Amino acid sequence: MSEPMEEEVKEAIQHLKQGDINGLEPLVRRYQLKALRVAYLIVRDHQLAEDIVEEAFLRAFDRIHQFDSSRAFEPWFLKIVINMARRAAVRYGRQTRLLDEDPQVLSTRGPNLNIRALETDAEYADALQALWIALGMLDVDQRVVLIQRYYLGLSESEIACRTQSPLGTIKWRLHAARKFLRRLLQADL
Amino acid sequence: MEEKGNLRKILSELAIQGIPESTDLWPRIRDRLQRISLLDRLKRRTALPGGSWLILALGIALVIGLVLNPGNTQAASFIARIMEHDKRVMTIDLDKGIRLNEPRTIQGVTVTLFGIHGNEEYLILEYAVQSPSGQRFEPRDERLLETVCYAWDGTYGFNEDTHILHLNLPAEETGYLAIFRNKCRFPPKQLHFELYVQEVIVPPSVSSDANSGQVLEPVPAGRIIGPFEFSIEVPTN
Repeated sequence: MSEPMEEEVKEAIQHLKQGDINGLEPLVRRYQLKALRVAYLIVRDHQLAEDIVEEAFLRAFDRIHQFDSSRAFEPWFLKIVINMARRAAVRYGRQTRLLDEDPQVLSTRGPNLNIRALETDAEYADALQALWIALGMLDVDQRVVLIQRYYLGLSESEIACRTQSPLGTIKWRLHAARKFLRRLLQADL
Repeated sequence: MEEKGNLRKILSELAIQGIPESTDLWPRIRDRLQRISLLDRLKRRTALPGGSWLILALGIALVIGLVLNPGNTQAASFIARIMEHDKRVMTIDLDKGIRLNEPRTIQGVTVTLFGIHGNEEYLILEYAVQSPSGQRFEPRDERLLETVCYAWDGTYGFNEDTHILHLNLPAEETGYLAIFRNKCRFPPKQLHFELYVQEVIVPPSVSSDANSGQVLEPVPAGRIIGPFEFSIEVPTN
């Protein structure tokens, strides 16, 4: 983060800590896109992701006094988003059961996730769609870890630290998620 | 390693497709904050914290009683005693804070902000409402704007000289002590106090004789005047 941006975030947080709601706008502008995309990958629904992130910003505002200003805001805020999205995905998954997403469809389609080998836009679109469906079929906890590892680029230790889970659990979830995707997509993940 | 890079890239692509760059949550969050703020204010008006209804009712009753019968000094002393034993008032040194004398006049009604006292827990605003001759206006809505730190926690009304606040109010003026509870660890240094007043319409006296045949008319709602606005610095003990 550049220094002026860091200053702007610090100033916004200071405003929030003083109860000034105007402090929220710069934080929303800066972090909404990343938060929305993480939530979207976890819950796989645009509207639900928006609801979650909106709620997460209000929750962050409500709990801003628990935030240590000497630390970075983004990990603290994304932790709120991820927790909320995870809970929503569990609830949502129970309701929908992904009825229209049949693993058979994926294996017969035989998508190739080696991007360099994808020669046409259609192949690329197929690969995207296949991974999207496969993500939805993952266990929620495995999906959350996979997104933290490969979308947010966190190390396994960082994920363990942020989720306060044993490192072994994180490693196992990642391994299980990759194995599931590999089997389903017939790709070398 | 390359495939893991591919996974990264595809996840990014999926995220971008699902949530375009142009997505902006701020308008709906801003609307939501405004709604929360409005609901909070309405809630403050309908669901006062424990004991506040009693204090408010006592205050209004005593104020009206005093207006109708200014010689009733016993009642005034009573409310002064309640105020002296109110924990919220007791926690604040009323000799400290800021003394002001800022009047605002709208349509013949003058609201004067006399002083502000505060500590980490509470903020107390002293003000008086002076009504035009033959009319009576009372505060309708006291708000501290641009902050969510302070929640209205009750208002005392009085109209005699009070040794607690060192005020000498003329007969046509009614004093008020608005108490706001602080919910934040670090309250803002600047506040905007806004107040509306509403005319009190006293219903005509009705004969208790049931055979008089008099038809009761609904009492019309009094005029609302305002906002009276003040920008203030927050003092702490």
